[in-house]
Amino acid sequence: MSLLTPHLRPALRQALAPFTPARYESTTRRMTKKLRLPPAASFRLDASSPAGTHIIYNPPPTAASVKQTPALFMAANDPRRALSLNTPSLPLAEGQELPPPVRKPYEKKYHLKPEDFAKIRELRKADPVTNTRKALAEQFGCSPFFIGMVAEATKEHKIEMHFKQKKMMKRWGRIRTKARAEKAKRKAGWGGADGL
Amino acid sequence: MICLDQSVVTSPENLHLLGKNRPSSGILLLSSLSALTLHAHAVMPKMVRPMMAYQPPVGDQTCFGYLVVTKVRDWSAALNIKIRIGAVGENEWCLFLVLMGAGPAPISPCRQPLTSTRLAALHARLGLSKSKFPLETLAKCLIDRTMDHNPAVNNSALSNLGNNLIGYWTSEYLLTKYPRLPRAILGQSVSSFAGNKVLHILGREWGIDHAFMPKAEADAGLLQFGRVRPGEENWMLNAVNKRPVNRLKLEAQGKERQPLEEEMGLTTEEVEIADPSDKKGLKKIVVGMPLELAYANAVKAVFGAIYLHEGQKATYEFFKAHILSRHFDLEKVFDFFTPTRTLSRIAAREGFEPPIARLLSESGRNTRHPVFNVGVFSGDELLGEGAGASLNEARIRAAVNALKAWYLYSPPASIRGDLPSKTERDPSAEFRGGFLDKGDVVI
Amino acid sequence: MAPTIRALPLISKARNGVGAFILQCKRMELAYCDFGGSSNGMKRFIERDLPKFAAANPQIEFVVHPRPNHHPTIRGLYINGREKVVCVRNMHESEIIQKAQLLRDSSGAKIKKSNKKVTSLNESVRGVFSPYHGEQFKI
Repeated sequence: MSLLTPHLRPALRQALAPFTPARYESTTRRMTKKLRLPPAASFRLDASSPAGTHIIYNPPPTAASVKQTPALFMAANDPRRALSLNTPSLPLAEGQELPPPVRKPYEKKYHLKPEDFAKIRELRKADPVTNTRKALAEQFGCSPFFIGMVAEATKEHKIEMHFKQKKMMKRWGRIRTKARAEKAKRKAGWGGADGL
Repeated sequence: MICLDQSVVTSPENLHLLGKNRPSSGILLLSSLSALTLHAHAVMPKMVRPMMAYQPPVGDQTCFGYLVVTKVRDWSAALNIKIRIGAVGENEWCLFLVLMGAGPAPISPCRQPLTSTRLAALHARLGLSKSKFPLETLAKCLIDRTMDHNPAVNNSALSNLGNNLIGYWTSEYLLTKYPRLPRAILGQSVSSFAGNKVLHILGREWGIDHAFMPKAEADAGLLQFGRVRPGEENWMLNAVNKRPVNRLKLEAQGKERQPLEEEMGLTTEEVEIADPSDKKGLKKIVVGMPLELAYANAVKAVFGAIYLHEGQKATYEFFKAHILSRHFDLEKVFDFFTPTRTLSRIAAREGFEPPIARLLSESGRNTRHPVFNVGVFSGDELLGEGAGASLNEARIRAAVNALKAWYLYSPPASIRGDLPSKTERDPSAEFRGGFLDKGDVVI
Repeated sequence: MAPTIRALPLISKARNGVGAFILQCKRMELAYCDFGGSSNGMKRFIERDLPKFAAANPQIEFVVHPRPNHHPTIRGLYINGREKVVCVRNMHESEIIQKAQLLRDSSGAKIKKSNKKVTSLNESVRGVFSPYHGEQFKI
């Protein structure tokens, strides 16, 4: 019994104590009562539910499986195309926007001509160190990936870059090497090889 | 099928050793089957050869030289094993097996298929027609070419026929059901239903046991073949380690192609075979076969034999029952290298709006185990969803799922084409072509 | 042109009974003894009930052989390579035929306890629950 905390009845003390959500209940009966979920919306009966026999559409809380083909992928004369229930869809409310994109979408520009391609190749061949894919992309207004498609670096440059990378990888310790190797393995499995 | 162990056969003089003079020996002798084995022997009475009710429309029948079209009175009994109890000597009962034979067959004289209980059990286990499918053919299916080089005796011809049938029916089934499957996936799917590995497993599941180069007295119900010689390169390792041979390239370079058997690494040797077409008198034959391949050949031979004896419809039913009934998860076979790029090219080819990955939901972004749910959208149409521990992973998995949804599209029966082999089973049926895909996408 | 897709080397699994049914028992070896009284039931079984049982199960190979100075046994051999042996000493034919039927109906697999009510190769009809889909629980 401390001087700071006045002697209070246990009930009052509990009522005045800060609220901490309980992770468990003291009896099984209380716990099961707490865990009981209300029935799903489609099963709840109220004044607006139909009076006679009716079909309840209750889609499961799962991501659509690959066996369900989206309507867009179906053949033009597929009779299932009209049925929206079969296809995976996002339940968008009226006026709701689509979810935010993961990567910033960009407009594909087709402004480069064959002369530009020749110039890109020339520059890349001449000095691959200064004229990196990124620099050329900025110069010509396209993506570094596209520069890579248009112009390949010289063989010597590739070898040089390869050895440079190997040199850096040699400095890695045991943990980093293992972590990188595991990550590469994980990434290789994303295409379907890992069975998920 | 009952088979009595003949190892305790002794001469009649030694009957007393069986306990004839022991207490209650009279009853013992009557009910003792050891005593009965004294008199048990397989009797091969003179029998008329059973008629082959079904005449196959195609194929040469020289392989069935033992079956001649003749009349037979009671040929349901012709292939059954009968057990009769009859009196032989005084106060002696005996049980003997009466085996109805079908006459001499062009196989090694001691390998009698009709005395093999194992073979008859296999025949019944597979549900083969008792009236149409003779036991001799089943025995022939189990003799590999490495065991006996006589093509009238081994299963090489039947195996070839069965191989064609199985491969054809499996591929047409998959192509009709999943018209958009990429070539690599289709190839693997056909292998997973009807490849050598699976047929080997199927042969084992049928209860076929094997024997390496057995003597003539061996059970005709065993798969008989010759092993790959020790020290020879294993053909399976060959297949895995070697690059597939580009035959056209070799021909263009003017190089000679190695024979298939040598490429596969099967043991071959040169033997003298009287072959009028071969002027040298020497012929290269396969003498060593891996176990897997031997089993696969036997299973294919059974299919070929059913086709010739029971007809196409029965063979197709057998094929559906044993091969198509197998469970195979097509979704698990795909392994994409650049799924986002592939999906983008497909969308461009088909005229869809370019696919954009959008974050549907996420949880625990700054924790050790975040979950990101990303969906790939073409316009406002959701194509596929994926979950991952990073935005990149989720985006890639979503693209993978979208691609699988594209490739695993199965048109409904109303627009799906009929199986091309439908008209072979029923010539009067109408063939209706169905959905055709443009093919693999070019990146 | 770089490959865009690779096929994983997976193979199909058998589903015995879905298409064709293969009885897993392929062979039964019946051993009896001439002298021992425990084999009486077995001997009667072999004489009377076995022919009918064998005819009813043509997929099974039956081998009858004497095994002196031992109790009678029935040994069932299965497609998975395993075998089950049942000693039928001092049993009546009606009991022995039950044992034979037990061996015939067995798959040969080791007896394993399963706590699951349903075991299947197929995925669930409604899929595995995801807290990110459907009616999401709001804290």
